[in-house]
Amino acid sequence: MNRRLPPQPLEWIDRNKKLSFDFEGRNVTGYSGDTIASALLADGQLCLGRSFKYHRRRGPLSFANHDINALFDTEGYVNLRGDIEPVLEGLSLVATNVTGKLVTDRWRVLQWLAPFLPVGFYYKAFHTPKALFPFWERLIRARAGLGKINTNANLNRVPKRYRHTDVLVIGGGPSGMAAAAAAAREGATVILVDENPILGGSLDYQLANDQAALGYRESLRADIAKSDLVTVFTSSVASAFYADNWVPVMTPDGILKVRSASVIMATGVYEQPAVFRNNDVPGVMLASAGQRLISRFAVKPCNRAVVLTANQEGYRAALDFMEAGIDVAAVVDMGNSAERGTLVDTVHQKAIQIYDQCSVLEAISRKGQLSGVLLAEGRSSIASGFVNGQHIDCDGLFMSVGWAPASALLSQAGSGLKYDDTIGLFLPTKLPEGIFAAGRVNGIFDLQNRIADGIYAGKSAAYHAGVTQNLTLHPSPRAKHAHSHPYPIIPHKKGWDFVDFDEDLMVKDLGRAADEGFDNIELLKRYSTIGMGPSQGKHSNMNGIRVLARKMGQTIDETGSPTARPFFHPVPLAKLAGRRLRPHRITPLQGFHKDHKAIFMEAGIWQRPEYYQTGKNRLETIHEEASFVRKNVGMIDVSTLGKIEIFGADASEIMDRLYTMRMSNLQIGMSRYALMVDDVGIITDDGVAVRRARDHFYVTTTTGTSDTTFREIQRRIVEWKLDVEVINRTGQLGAVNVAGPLSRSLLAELTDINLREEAFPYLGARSGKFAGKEALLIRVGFVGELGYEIHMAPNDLRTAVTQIMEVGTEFNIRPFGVEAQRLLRLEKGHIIVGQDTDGLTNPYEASMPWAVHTKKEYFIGKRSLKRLKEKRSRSLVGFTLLETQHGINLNESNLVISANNIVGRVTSVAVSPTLGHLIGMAYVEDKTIKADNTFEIRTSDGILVTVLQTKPPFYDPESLRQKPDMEHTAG
Amino acid sequence: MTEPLTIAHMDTFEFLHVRGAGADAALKSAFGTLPKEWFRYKKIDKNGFIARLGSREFYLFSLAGESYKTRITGENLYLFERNDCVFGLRGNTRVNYLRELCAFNFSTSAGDQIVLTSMAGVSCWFKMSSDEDVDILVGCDPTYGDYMAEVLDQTLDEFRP
Repeated sequence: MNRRLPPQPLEWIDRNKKLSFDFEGRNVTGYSGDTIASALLADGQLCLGRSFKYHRRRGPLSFANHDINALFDTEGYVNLRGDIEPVLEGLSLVATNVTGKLVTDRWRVLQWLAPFLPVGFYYKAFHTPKALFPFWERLIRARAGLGKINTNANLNRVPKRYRHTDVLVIGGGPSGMAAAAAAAREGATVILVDENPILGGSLDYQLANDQAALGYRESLRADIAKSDLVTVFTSSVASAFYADNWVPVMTPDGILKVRSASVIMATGVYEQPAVFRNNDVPGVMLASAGQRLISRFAVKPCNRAVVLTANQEGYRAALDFMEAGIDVAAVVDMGNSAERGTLVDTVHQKAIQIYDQCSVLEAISRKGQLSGVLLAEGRSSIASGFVNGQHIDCDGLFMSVGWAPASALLSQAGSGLKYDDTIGLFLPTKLPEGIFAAGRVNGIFDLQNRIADGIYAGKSAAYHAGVTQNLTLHPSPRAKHAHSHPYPIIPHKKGWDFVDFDEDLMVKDLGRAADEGFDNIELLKRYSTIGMGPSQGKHSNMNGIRVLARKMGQTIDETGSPTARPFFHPVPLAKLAGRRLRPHRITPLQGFHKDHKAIFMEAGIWQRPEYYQTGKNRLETIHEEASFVRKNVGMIDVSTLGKIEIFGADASEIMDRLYTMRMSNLQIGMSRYALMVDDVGIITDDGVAVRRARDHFYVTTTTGTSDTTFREIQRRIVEWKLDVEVINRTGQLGAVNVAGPLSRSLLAELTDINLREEAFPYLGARSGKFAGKEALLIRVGFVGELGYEIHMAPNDLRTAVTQIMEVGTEFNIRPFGVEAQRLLRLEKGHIIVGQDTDGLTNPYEASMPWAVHTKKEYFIGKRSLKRLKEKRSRSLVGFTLLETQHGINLNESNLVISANNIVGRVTSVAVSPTLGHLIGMAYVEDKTIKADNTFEIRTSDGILVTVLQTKPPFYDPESLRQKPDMEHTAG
Repeated sequence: MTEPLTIAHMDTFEFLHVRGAGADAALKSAFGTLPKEWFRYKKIDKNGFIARLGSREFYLFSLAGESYKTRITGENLYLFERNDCVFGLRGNTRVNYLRELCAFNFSTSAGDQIVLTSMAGVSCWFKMSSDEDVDILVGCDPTYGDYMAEVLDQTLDEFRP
């Protein structure tokens, strides 16, 4: 049956553009401007979806972006909200959460199992027997959630953009438009955001037949259109509020991050459902949903209507329905029609029956559709649920019993909310500076007052933004009577009286949760999941609060409302991801690495060569690279090391304070191991400190900590008020480490620096020309061989490396990657901060007491380290396998076990090609190392392996290879 | 008339980071008056600029190929070469383009301002220009250069009508 109405004055559809799409294999036609749901309803498809838990038939409820039981899937997208998602030519749609066809959904049998599925049943039902839990878990996970993501769908990268403005107005209804226009008239730049495709808000549907309102609508829209200072974003949702007026606006083209000097929340109110038996049957909906269908989409929601109301808006809706050709059988007023104003007279004149002090006790369904309502008359009958009323045939029941403020953003902005008994609404109390509320969210319901309130907010916002200097207006008066029924809930002993349509929660579910002790609103929310569905409680929280308040004998304010966290409206992950920007750094030698067939790995934010391909397998190649360093000479790119210049009169003073070792006595032209701990004595960084001049140090940091170390130094300079400056040159310089017994001979051919042992000893640092360019060379021993770090400007380093490789051919040079370096330093027993340390490691545990100069007057963490030294109970120790266990595989993070307890973990482990057996380092509780120096490690396969504690270094314990006699190696 | 947005990858320049208590005096001696306000720059020679980042911190930039290094001498003076990746943005939609990637409020920036901020997750500096015939320069650490070039080019493709 076609339910399309003749053209409506404000309709959004374009009747000149017909569209056709497929729904469950059936061809459906609609118009451009239709939503999926409006096109289906116009086509006579009254059931739009199945409910989440019980798979009950559901139709439209709000038609305001909150109809969670009318979700649709198409290829590539899931959970499209039918009430707002525009229909497109050629779409192929199925209903979400349905197995098979919508009408014959296989899981509808769950309705009959409802008595066995009370609230929280899954908390209680599946924990024993334990062995069955994985089975239940799979089943629950398969049933939970809505929609199945197509991971093969095309990526849709939508950008996140930035905007700044004087005034941000959220909500394009009468108050919002008036506010935006007023702020712009004052000279403020304004961004106006509305979730609908067309500005107007309630003027477009609730007041569509009110001539005065139409006049305001045209004039406000014209004001907005003609202002150059107002930028409008429609179909866009301001989804959250963060500090300093930082508001993410979800637009069709991605998230817009708006920073505004002032923010006006003209977000309006959400109409709330009444609770009675079968209030979810297709045909039962909010009155405003019916008005939206008629006015915006020219869809007739039903043929014969009953309006359940507790306010004057219900009477206006009844008249609107009549205007659209619907037979309005009755207006059922939960209070007294005499209090509803002049519209009641018009309803009387139209011969519509009004039932005072009545409610709907039950909606009657036939073949899954609404066929009538059963009334309860009188206050006592309503309260007791006693059936004394009559049955009225109808196929549409419209609920207009009250409102809840759209105050989530106000709440996130820091506004207090207090329940106003007169108006029956939570209202903002104390607004933060620069935040303004306007219109119905501010408790103002009269149209003229809403507009005046918007103007006041607009001028106030412009004033706060510093655009204007004068503010002479006064706020508008709030409503003097309630537009919401205090308790629009008629519980039914047979149930199906839904409070939360997202999560299929009934009145008894909430009562049961409270009985079980979840009697605080936040606990109730988490246990029952009320308000945790996709609509985030917009139609359930208020009634949930009422049910709990009555159950506990509390007021609404005493009961409180759940916290509305950002984002208060669901946002697709693709929009949050934006362009998926993922900064990464490459060294100046990236081209060299590629030319030498490097296999890259991520080292923090850096791309580094793991090893260089040779045709052999990974491990063989890494071992080969390591062996070239031990036997000949190798070169590794160490440009990723942090490189920080520290200079000024107090340079040596700050160095002493920053590092655990004394630096002020370091000779110019020498370097020293530099270990940094934090205030509690935990190792945060290590590197090498070079003294370049009396007042100038150059320090390196580990690859991952250059930025944090730099920030820490900056902070300390300010804190200590020292005359010292710091520059982070990590990316401005490149560096390589050329290491191996032949390194000196090789490098001597490329530099004017005297490399002889007596002129350039171990730990020395020299500046000079290398490959014809300025360079700093540092004698280091990280890999346990004679080695030189060469630090240069990026372009110069590229040239130098080319020459090193050319000259190096004679010395059998080979580049080596991060894995070979890890292996070489493990043989030498050197730690890597972050791998061999964790967030709790202090130098004593890391077996580095030699790196702590306790005689210094002060350094960061000194006092803590004194205590930690006394309390130390674990150490980083070296280990090897017992001879009988060769061939056993151990991995990093394998656990050290003693008496079935975890007493440590392996931090580094590898088979040493130099030594020919497995070596490793592990944290071990001292007391768990046995008298024969063994302890046990559990392999990844769960086998306990006994290992032998071995004191590092495993290789060259006298460090003779780092300081070879010049006679043996010099060219 | 709308001038098409273009991004030039600059590769011939000298860029010095000048620090130290003697920086102000040394630069005054070499280049005359300096910007008084922090984060403002002054044009020098044909294509160079000198920007004040603090009481004793400056950027000195030259596109002309002329080296300033030898012109600056003095005590308590520290010169560090910067090898930044620098891009030149031209076209009258360039500020809107930058808003695609950067949270800075460009409407508050002056034509002679040096902005230190972040773009696409990376610390950057912008040399602003109110003259549409003069490029807005964007610079970042060279190790982020490939990433930044990739992001700028990709965003430019999306940004162009």
